[in-house]
Amino acid sequence: MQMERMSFTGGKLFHAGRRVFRGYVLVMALVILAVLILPFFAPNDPYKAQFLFRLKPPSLDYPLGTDALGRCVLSRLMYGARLTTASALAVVMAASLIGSLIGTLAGMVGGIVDRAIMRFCEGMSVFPALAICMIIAGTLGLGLQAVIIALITVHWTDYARVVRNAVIVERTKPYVMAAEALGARHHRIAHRHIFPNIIGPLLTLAAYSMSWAILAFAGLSFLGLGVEPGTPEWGLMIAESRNYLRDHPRLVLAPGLTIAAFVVAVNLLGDMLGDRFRLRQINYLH
Amino acid sequence: MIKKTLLGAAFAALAMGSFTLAPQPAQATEDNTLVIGTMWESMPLAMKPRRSRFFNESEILDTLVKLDYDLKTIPGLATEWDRVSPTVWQFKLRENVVFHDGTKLDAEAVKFSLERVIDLLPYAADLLNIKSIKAVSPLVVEIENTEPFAALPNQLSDAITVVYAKSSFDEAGEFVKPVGTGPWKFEEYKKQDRTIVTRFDEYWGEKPALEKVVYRYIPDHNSRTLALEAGEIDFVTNMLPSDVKRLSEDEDFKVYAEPTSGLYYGAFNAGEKSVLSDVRIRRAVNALVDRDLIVKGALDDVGEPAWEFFAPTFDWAPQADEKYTLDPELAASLLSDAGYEKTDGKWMKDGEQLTLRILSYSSRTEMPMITEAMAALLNEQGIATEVGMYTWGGMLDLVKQGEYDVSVVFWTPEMTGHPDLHLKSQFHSKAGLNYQFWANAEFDAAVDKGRTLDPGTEQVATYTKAMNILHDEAPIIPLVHKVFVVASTKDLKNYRIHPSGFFFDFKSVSK
Repeated sequence: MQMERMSFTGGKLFHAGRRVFRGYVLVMALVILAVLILPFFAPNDPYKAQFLFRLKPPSLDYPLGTDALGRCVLSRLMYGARLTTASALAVVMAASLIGSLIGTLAGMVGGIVDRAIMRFCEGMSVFPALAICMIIAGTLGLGLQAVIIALITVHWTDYARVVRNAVIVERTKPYVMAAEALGARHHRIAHRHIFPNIIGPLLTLAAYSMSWAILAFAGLSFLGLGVEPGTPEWGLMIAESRNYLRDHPRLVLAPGLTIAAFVVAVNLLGDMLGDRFRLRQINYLH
Repeated sequence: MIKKTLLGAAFAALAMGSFTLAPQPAQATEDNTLVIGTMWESMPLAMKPRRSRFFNESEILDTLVKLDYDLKTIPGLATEWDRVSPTVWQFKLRENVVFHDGTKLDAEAVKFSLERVIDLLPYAADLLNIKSIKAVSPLVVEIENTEPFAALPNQLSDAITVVYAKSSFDEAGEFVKPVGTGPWKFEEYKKQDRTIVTRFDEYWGEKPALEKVVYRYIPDHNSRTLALEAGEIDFVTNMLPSDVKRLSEDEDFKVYAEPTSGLYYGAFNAGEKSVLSDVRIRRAVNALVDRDLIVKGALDDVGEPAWEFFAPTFDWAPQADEKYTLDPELAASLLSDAGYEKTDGKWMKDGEQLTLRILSYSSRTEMPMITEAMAALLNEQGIATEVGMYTWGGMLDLVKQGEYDVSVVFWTPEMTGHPDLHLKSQFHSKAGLNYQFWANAEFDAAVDKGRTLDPGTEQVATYTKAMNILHDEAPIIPLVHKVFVVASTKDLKNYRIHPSGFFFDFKSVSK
């Protein structure tokens, strides 16, 4: 297999990468679609507070019951899915774009640029990411954008490291050396030869980091950063129901288990992609 | 691997959020010790936090004048007081009172202490209105005010006026630790954990039955009540409404609930940066929010719906001639006057919906719930809201800049048993705490006059006028009158809630 891979100038893998890429895009498109239309299936208005109908147990009209202000828990979960997924996607896309560009730069240019970028990334990873997010989001002020920017700021370094390592590994391969020997320019090598071959680890990382982003986003909302109170967001729903934990555990369990299930599903996707690309052998991710 | 750890950490934070401050393993408290769990940290090594209320509520220090259980003035360190001229008060001090450091309380000590307080605490000067303090004889203090000031004895019951011994301060006059005359003396302080006070045997009044009181700082509301149920503490303050219900049904615990001083209200931004600069909208908002539903929905019935500023429980407190009522029709006509039109259930003007930026802070248990309930009720009536929860300081920053429409706050306007405290310090146009950009010359005049008048018909008339202006101009929306709730183990005896809300009175408590 290894031999086979080396004997082509990336061509075969390029196609293999493309196939998986297509599958991935399909899955993601379905997920996004599902999440975007989910609110249309919500049985009730997620914002409507009914003070005379609060903390009701599940019923036909309110399949997961109502929360402390009498709002439909299921509808809030469904609206929350869109918000959380969209925000996590924004984080992952922006972070992977920025991280890949900087990582490629480090890998291709090498030398002092490489060292400076990598030391910076390592420096960032020394600190707990959530703590840095809290500081950044706190400085930027409250709001959804602040949290998204904070998560991107922390998260692009993961991509930069992976991409830089992948680029360096690929650069030593004969097909790249051949291309170099033929006089191809740096950016052409990166674009035509290396990038198609590292798309696998990149996508795998994206899947994992999607789940990280969802958790981080929910965690920050739980702590009161991000969305405004009253917004249907999973982390915030847990925070708001926390005071009713002992008498009405379902209020915390519903969003909690939803987050868990969603993260597990995204992680499984990541595992599948990882197997496909045999990342354990290449070990880019560590 | 970092990623795994992060996942784990985030997960743990989500799942365990409310248990992160879970109590230590249960341990029964000793017989002669009372352990109480508080929401705020009891900070004995600084004067400023919470206007030094801890010193008074814990009775490490005493005030010259105290308040009884009807909020009427009774002797504290001063046994009697007299208004010798319109601007001059004389206070006769209690004999044979010693500080915890062994020094005697005399007129010089009181003068020293009050002068330190006025120097160190910015709001003290405004509250006390003092021109000069004189020690007339060893046990008589004379206080001259800058203007006739009838409210002084009541103001001297405020926690910030507690009498400190000289040894409370260092040579530069900075505060070091509380040395007072109270039944409890300060013993030990562990940051973010606990403050311990022990019985002072030379106390001038009735000696405490217990030997020691431990104030444990447990900021998480679930954990605090759990600590009581686990037998780790004897007494818990600021419980969640849902816990109140459960503990009242449990025979192992006693739940105490009484109306006390305290009002949750939305302070309107009447300045130019807000739509609420229009009094018609302020009054409309007041007519649109059903306070009964807030008490029911946000507080599980722990509280009294507030349709007026001072709680009607206190008969000395002045009232406006009218109260706010739930009146959607009045609100509709006010909003129409102000140029709004209701389309599709939304109040619109120039194509934009009437939107209020509502701020509050989350350190106090009930604040987010009350704020959210108010916002939900406004939404239902066609007014959009943008709610932001901050720390107290974070909220205050925005409020000072005028970048808000409503800030939901809690104050204790009835605390000193006199209407002056809050009206003067929050709503007077020159008040240091007036960030609402609301100014009314007639109101200022009435409040300035009210504090000079002895109780009687003129004082009532003056304050009624002030309250009427407050009602008509509507710089606030009163939401809920506080019902103070604490719980203890069933063995605790003789505890009673003091209506000021800032006085534990643990002297007679035993177990």
